[in-house]
Amino acid sequence: MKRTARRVWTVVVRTLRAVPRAAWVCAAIAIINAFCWALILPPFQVPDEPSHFAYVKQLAETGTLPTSHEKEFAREENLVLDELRESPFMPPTGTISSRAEHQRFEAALGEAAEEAREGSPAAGVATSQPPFYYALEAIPYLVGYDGNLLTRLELMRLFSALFAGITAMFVFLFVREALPATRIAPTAAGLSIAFAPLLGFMSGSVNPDSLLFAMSALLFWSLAFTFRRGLNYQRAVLIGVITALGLLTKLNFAGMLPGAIVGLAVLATRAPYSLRRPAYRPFAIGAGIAVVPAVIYVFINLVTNKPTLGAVTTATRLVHGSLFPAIEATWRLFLPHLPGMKAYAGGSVFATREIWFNGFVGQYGWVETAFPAWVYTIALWIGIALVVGCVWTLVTLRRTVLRRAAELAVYAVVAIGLVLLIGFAAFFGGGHEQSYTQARYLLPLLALFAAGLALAARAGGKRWEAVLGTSIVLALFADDIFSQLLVIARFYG
Amino acid sequence: MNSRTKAAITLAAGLLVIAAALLAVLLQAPRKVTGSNEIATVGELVSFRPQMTLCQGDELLPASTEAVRLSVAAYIGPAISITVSHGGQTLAVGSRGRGWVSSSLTLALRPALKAPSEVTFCLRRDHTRLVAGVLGNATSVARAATVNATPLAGRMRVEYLAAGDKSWLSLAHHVARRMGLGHDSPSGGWIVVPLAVLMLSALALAGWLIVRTE
Repeated sequence: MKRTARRVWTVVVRTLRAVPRAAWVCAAIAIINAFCWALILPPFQVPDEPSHFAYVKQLAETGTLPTSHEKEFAREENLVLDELRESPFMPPTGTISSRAEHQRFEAALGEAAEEAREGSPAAGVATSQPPFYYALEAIPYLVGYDGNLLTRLELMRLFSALFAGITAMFVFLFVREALPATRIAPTAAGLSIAFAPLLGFMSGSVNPDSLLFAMSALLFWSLAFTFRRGLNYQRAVLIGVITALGLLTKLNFAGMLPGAIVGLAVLATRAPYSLRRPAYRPFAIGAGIAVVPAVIYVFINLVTNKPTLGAVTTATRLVHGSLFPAIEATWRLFLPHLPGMKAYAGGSVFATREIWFNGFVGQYGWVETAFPAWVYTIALWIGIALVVGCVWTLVTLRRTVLRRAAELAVYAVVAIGLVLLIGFAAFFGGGHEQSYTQARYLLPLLALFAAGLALAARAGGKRWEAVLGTSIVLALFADDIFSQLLVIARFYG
Repeated sequence: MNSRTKAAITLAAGLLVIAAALLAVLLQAPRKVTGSNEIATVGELVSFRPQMTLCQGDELLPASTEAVRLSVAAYIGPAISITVSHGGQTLAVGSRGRGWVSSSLTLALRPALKAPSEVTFCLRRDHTRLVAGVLGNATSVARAATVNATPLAGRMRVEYLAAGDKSWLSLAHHVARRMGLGHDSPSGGWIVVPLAVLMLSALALAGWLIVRTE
């Protein structure tokens, strides 16, 4: 037993030592950035934070999962929501504005903290989510157990910020594996993601998205790593475990599951013919591990007489005829509509720009805190330049692209799976076309986005790569700083 | 010129541009709230649809009001225009194009009001399918807002805004003090100091890494 533990420890230390210093720096910057967001954001002014907090409270205080989708939270949580007058309807003024009000509020919180802690069986929209993130968040919750709710919330946010570091680190490592010809690419990509304001905003709050982004970055890195070195048992298990943990983090990861399985299958078929048969065994092991949470989920649903595939079953019951309307709705949710296709919201919204692009540039709070329109216009021109640069580099490197077509196809399957999941969820769950879709839903694809930035930096050739790479990092840094000021002005101005 | 020098020059130039933009923002004076109709935003009064004209009377606007902030919320908002009138005479108009994102809608008024006036607002919107909700609280029928002359269940919240006379920079102390409230922040308003130190260290680390890598 002791020997096994020592071996594991040795492997862990060796693995950590193998991580380049630049990746650690990117991770540190992402954590610092998310820390800052955690300190700036008022309590519960992030999408669904009250629900996610309630889930952790229930898990930490009772050891059981929440059971109700209602938003009837525990008294101390309602006290904070009431006292800070925070609701999606809040105009930009109205929260606590004097020291006396703050002291009264703290006294009330202190009294509430003295009461028996009986969890929160109702956790709103978080109730249907798997427990991995919440179980991890129970650690800072219990560390701050003697403090009031605000102390626990802040500790949980700071803990969540650590996941931003993991995301930035593995985005760096993914780009290093995927674009090995240049030293600048991973640094520019890692730093850009570390300063991405939407990552900081989400990771600086209590929300399983922070861990979802980290698990997604890990998945992309593990696939790229294996594509460069070949599939063996350890790498198959690694991909399987990452996928399983991703599924246990947030339901959205289910959209990436097909990509992970296809990735393992493609890796197995790439083995030399003589080794192909043995390569199917690691595939089976990796895929088996990956689907374990899904199998357990189905089993629990069957035992408890719930729909076999949970929300998926409910959604499929809503499908009348074919899936075509859902696919069409997904297309126009992400891309400009094609001839003969209905436009999103009757043509009054260009979703590609107004939901996804503008949302990534910066929409905060409950997606109601936004920059003036001209900021998004400037950002759009920069975005177009980056897309052109990225496409140009891909055309220049077309031979390499063709040689690595299978690998790129796997990344595309991962991305398309997520996009379909988001689109179908909006189509079946939204009730009307303008459901509450947010840009953060695409952040699990940060690794691909970062690779795109790195490719754009290479568009000017070796001569300009340093200049373009640095400019991209500075653009994201500027976006981050002004986003923080925007939120400060919105809530404290 | 080697890559390292190029990166260092780009970094320095970029940071100068960002610092200049930051200063320009901080020297701007934000609009100030001079009053409101004291209606709470408790829930949705009506979903504001095309063909609707929503009017709300008995609004006492202070002198120098140059904008109003209405409790109208949207995920992606339609174009909305406002007419401010008194005794049938239009005093000011304003509008906002489609695509706004907020839980409140600020409309600049042209011209700004010179004297305090008891006015009626009338809102109209475009014909798109974008959804907007008018938020407010219940009142008596006599005081309620109307849609196409039919009374609603209550009134929307309205805040009156005038041109600010203090820049963000001169308001920094006030903003910092408020940042320490409603948070778990033992340091109170001093919270901005660690924030600034953290972001500067992140920037220094990034700068070091960029120059070192190139």
